[in-house]
Amino acid sequence: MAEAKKGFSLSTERGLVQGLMRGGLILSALLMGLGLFLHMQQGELGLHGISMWEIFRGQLPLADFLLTAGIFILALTPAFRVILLGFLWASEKDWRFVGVAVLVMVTLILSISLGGH
Amino acid sequence: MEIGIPTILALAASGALAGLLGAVLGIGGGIVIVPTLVLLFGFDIKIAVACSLVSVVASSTSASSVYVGKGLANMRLGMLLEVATTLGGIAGGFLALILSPNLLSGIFGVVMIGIAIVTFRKTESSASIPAAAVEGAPSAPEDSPGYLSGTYYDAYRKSLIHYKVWNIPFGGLISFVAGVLSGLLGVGGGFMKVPAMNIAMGVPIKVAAATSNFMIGVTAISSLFVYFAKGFVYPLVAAPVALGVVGGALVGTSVAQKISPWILKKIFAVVLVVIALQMVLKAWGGFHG
Repeated sequence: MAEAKKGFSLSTERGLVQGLMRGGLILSALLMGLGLFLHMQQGELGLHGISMWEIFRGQLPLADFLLTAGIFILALTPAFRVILLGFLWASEKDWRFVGVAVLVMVTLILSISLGGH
Repeated sequence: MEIGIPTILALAASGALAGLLGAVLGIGGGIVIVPTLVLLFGFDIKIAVACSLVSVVASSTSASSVYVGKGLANMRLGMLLEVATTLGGIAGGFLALILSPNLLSGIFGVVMIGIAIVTFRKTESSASIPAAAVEGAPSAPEDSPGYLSGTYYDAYRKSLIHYKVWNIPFGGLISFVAGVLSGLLGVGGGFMKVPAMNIAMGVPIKVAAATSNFMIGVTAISSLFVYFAKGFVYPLVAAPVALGVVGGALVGTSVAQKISPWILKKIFAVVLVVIALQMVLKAWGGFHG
């Protein structure tokens, strides 16, 4: 017997996930593009690695901040997609897959915290 | 060390080429970006891998948003396999930090030769549908709570295809290994996941490719966060390459529909072998230099 689908319709679900991913990509591309433009305009083209934690310390020059924030938002977009799907499946009461989404998020949080040490 | 505006433009052009090839040939850009940054621009392989992971996230996010909209990506299957790929990605990221750059270059070269062989042998399989998949109306609700089965519209056959997924433990194992390779070498790992899903798990090739793409972003960030926290991401290198990849992939997606990639695949496979040998020789020189 086919179970009636609860929560959002499938097309709404897909539209929300698609919108989140496109939004994250566009925002990060804008920030990276602006950061690159500022770097090239100021002629400050020194190569160095930047840790993602430096975004929160407030000591980065604007051009570096924009570039790093763009990359950080890009990296967070798939993580937000996992959270969004977890909520959408929760609205369908699909607890098995909500559990799977939580497990993926825990693993990602583990990678962030392990990377810091 | 300073770079000039021409170098930034060259990095963006390399990214665009990788994105274009990736879209046309159905491969990840990482396999092109890493050797380009190491052999052409002279960057350390760990910096190249970190920058490649940023590009892999960008291209995967761009492509999978399209696949999700078309209903090709099986999001529940993707999420389930992401548990294994993220664990593999973390393991690969940490492994890369402790391995010597020469050993990494050597491993990269060997994996590239493997990918070249897979690419060279790959046939025109756009219509490859497992025998268990059926055309017509689904017998079970697709994309429903608790279900891993799915339905998609196949433009080639002009009909709905319903399929069921099996052999999840095997898919998890392959996804873990693909995650390790992604974290270690900055590649997407689709070359392993797509055939595994198609041949061993009963997933039609188009859905397997879309689902693999959907997963790659999460796989890549699990190791990217490790590199990013350790300061291996050079924003002035990663940003132009990532922007180039997205632009190249956009062009490639429209071009891919109009050209037959068969000959391109064969040429690309040969080029991959040549680059792979250069990577292995560079590693060999580093060990004995």
